[in-house]
Amino acid sequence: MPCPTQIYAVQGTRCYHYCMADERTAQIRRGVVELAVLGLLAQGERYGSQIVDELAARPALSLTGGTVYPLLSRLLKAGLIDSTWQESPVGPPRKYYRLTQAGQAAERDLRSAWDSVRDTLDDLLKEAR
Amino acid sequence: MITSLDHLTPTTRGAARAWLDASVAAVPHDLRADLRDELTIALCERLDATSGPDELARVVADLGPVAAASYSGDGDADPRVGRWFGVPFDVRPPTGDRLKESMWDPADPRLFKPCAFGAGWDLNFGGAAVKLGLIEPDAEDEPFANTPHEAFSAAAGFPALMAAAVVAHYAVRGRSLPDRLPNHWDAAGRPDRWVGKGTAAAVDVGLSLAAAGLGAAAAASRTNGAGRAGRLGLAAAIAGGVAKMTVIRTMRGGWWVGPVLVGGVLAPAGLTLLGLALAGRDAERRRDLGHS
Repeated sequence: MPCPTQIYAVQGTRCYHYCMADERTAQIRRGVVELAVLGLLAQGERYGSQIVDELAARPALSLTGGTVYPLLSRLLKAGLIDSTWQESPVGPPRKYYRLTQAGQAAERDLRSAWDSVRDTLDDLLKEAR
Repeated sequence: MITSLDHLTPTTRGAARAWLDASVAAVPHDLRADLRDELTIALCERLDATSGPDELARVVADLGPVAAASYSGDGDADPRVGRWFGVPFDVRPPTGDRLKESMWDPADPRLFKPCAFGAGWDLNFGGAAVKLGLIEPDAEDEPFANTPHEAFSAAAGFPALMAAAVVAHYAVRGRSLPDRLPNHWDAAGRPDRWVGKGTAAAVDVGLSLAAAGLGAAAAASRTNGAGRAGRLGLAAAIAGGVAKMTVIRTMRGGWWVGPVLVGGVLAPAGLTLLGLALAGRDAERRRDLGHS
């Protein structure tokens, strides 16, 4: 299906389709969403809508419940997080998520990989300027 | 470089989409969209508008052994799964897990998901229940895994009740019903095909008893999970649809026939799944809190 915007921008000799750029940005976000959730839970346990709200407050990540809840389900199945119902001071009980030991290790590995990729790309992009 | 597969020639575009379908068929449903996006971008970067099928084959081979194996029809690609003119199909025998993914996935906000068996889309009752505020997207860690046995037994009561009602209907009103009853309705809800009263009774009673049997068998099973819930949902759908049909046969018909029949199938299935999921959520709460 053609992109609805159909806008082109010319940079040098190459044409970049804005939608393709958006899609690439989305790809970058998809790559880091797991680290974002694990990183948030590394700070302490949180309930589902709290995770969604805290991530949604960071516009660069552009995350919604439709992305976060399936990811939480996958992380649960993978044993990287576990959940427990807890009483809430307001309203009904809430399901809180926390990192398991495997999740803590995965968060450390992902964070290390992210630091390495970020530093490398920062250097590369500085050189490109 | 192109920016969309639509820029390819029809032949190459068709081959590219067939390859994408085959490539994503081998991975779990929840990964398919991401994989398809990535592969589409890879193709767009490597092809241009004049690329033919041979060029596509070369690009696919360059993308890696798994992708190339999918393209050639070898490896894990499953030809029983894919898209045909944009319509998803899956003709593998249905499993409880696939039915759960397509029909009860509260974590996924989509109302319609590629069907677990056949062509088209299934209604995601879980997503609908979340949108209606009836359940949380993460109410259960694993849908229906903690639903207590008593809830499954109670869910089997609906098809049994409907079967009893259908049998009672024909036993009590059978003699006073017309000799021929409607068996099909046109788009406006007017009857356009008829069958003998005995045939109608045999079909309705037979189907409703089959639904009750399916529900009873699911209730008697000791294995919790999506398969058991799916069988009870199916039993409720059949029982509800047949019960509605039994009543509609005795009426004059109208525009409402279609919606009532569809509702008679969907509502019992959805409410059964919702009830089982809520029972599972309550069981999780009792486990963690000591009360629900």
